[in-house]
Amino acid sequence: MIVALRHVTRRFGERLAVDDVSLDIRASERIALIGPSGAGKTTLLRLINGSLRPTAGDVTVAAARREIGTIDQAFALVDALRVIHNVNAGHLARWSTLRALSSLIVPNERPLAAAVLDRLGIRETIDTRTGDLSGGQRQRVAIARVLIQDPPLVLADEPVSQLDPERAVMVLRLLTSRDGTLIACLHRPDLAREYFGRIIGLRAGRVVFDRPAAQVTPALLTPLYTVAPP
Amino acid sequence: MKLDRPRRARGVGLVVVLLLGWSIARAVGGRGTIANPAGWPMVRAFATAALHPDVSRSLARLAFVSSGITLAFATIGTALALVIGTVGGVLSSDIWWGDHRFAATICRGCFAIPRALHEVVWGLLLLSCLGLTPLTAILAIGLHYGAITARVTGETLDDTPATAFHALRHAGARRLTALCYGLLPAAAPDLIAYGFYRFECAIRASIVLGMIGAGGLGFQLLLSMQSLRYGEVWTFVYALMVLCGLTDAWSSAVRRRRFRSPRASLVLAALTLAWSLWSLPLDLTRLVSPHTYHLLGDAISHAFPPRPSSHLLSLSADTLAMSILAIAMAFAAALVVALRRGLVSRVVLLLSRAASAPVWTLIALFVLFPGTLPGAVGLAVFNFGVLGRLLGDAIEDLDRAPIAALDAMGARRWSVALYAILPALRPRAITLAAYRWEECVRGTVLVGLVGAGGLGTLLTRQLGAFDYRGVAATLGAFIAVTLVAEWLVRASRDGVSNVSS
Repeated sequence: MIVALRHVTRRFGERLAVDDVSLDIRASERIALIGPSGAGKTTLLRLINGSLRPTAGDVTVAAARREIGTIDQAFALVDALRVIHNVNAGHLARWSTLRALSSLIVPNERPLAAAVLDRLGIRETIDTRTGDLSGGQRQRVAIARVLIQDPPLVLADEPVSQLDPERAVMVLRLLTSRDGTLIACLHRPDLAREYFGRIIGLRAGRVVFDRPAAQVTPALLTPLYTVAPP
Repeated sequence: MKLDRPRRARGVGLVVVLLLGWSIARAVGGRGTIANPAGWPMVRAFATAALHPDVSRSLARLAFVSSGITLAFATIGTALALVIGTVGGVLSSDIWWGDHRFAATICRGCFAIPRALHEVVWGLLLLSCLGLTPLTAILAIGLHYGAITARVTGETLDDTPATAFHALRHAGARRLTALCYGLLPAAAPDLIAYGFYRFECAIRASIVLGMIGAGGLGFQLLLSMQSLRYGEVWTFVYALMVLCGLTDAWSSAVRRRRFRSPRASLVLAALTLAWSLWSLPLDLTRLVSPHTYHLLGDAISHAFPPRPSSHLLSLSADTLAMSILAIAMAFAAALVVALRRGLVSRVVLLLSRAASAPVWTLIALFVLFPGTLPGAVGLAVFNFGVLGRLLGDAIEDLDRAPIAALDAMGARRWSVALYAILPALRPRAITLAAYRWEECVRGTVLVGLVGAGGLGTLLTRQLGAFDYRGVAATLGAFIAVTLVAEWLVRASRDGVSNVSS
């Protein structure tokens, strides 16, 4: 078990973001969290990567913080750096400070970065200032950084939110084809069913269903996205 | 255009490196001995005295009374500067004049000279007309700070989004009304923060006022320094640190909105001002007395035509080199300390800026022979204190997400600094360094007055010899150097800001 949640609750003031959730996630599972905005998907990811503590309950993660790669909804990139350096930031846990410094002058591991960017379809941006890119390009730079980091557990918050359907498929294929565990929030059930093994539906901070992807039917999804509570 | 940006930034970088190399060569080249090892015991004696400040009853009393005087000078001086700065700032902003921008340019030009000359110069000039009174001290601070505040206020107003202002104007509001309702609310936080910063500067200016003979902590500190009573010096330094620290705490409480209403701050400021006016005997009749104007006319008639000293050009170059060395050393050290913020570094920074450049220069003169270097060291230690604080605040204001992301990945501390903090900090760091450099250029006169070298030392000699024609020429050179520095900063900012925008 790489992640275990036991009766986890998280409040922000009065608001209940995650409400008594229990989950077991095995290594190498590919899990999609789906649900409407405000369902608690992002909070759940932040509880797992340790940037939030639960108000009640236990979160156990069998990976050090540095072994978790997070693709943030806002990307958390450094706009002032060139793309190559943002991608190479994925190496920083392994690099000495001296190597990190020298790479800022003459980028190290350039072929590797170029190959990853190529698979994401943005090779030509390698020397562009990250802040000058479009939202979809920046999103893929953030993904490239995690791919370079190559951690055993990847948490991806809406990793394809800014991509057109074709590129979204390309990126999801890339993320789901690596070894290791993947937990991703998604807005699109069709993509979740196609590329993930297990789907967890959330609504108002609670788990509505938790099934193998093949067993997720439109009938299950309807109550998830209905505006009035069922 | 895209290709152009990094090239221009590199061009600016190259100029900076060349200037730095030239400054080092100018400061240390061509001179046999720079250091004077015989002075080390004095430095050691000064440093060890930090642990044994003089806390005898009479001195503690003196320090307390002097703190009151310093606080009163600083309060009234800042109040005057804020009045001049607010009115002057509005008048020198483009937005106030609308289509008549030349009027703003003229106003800005009027403030260039009071801004270019350090408050100590104003103090010395006013001293010869007004004599040694509290009024002299307050005018020296108020005029110079007012001119600087006017520039900052004008720039802040022009940088503030003006849609609300224009909307009010279109609706028929008068300019002043539109300014108060459409522009000031948005600009206020920056202006208030700047006002506090000026107040802290005014407290530190106590040393400057001490140099012209006005009372207060700085005056007592310099007296003790001259009689080599380091224990006493440290008592006054600690008193200055307390005053600066309290101002600091007040300003960050306001900045972080720790007070429920701004009213508490306003009342406190008003009370301090009232107490200051009550405690200092200000003789405003001197401003209108014929004697003052007789002396002024006398000084002016003796000052013209200016007679440049034969060393004026080379001393101007020394002054420029001194300021460049100072800002380079200060910036490097401040950046390192700002990146590793902690209680110890806060205290070190506070000490560095509370004790002021002249004190550090006097210490440097124990071990370095007079010249460009000790002045640069003195200015560097002081500006390290100021810049370290400003850079620390700038780092706190950065977007935390990229920094947290690299931290979480397990990147080393300095790698996080290199990949997340420094790139994001760069534009702000450049602005702060450039702005402090201008202050360094102005500050060279101060360290020159205590004997470091450059134009300031020449000025002291000329003032001592009542050579007013020489003084006029030297002041002219000072203004020229300052204007050159300001021009360089503006030109390089245009080059760099294209990269960061």
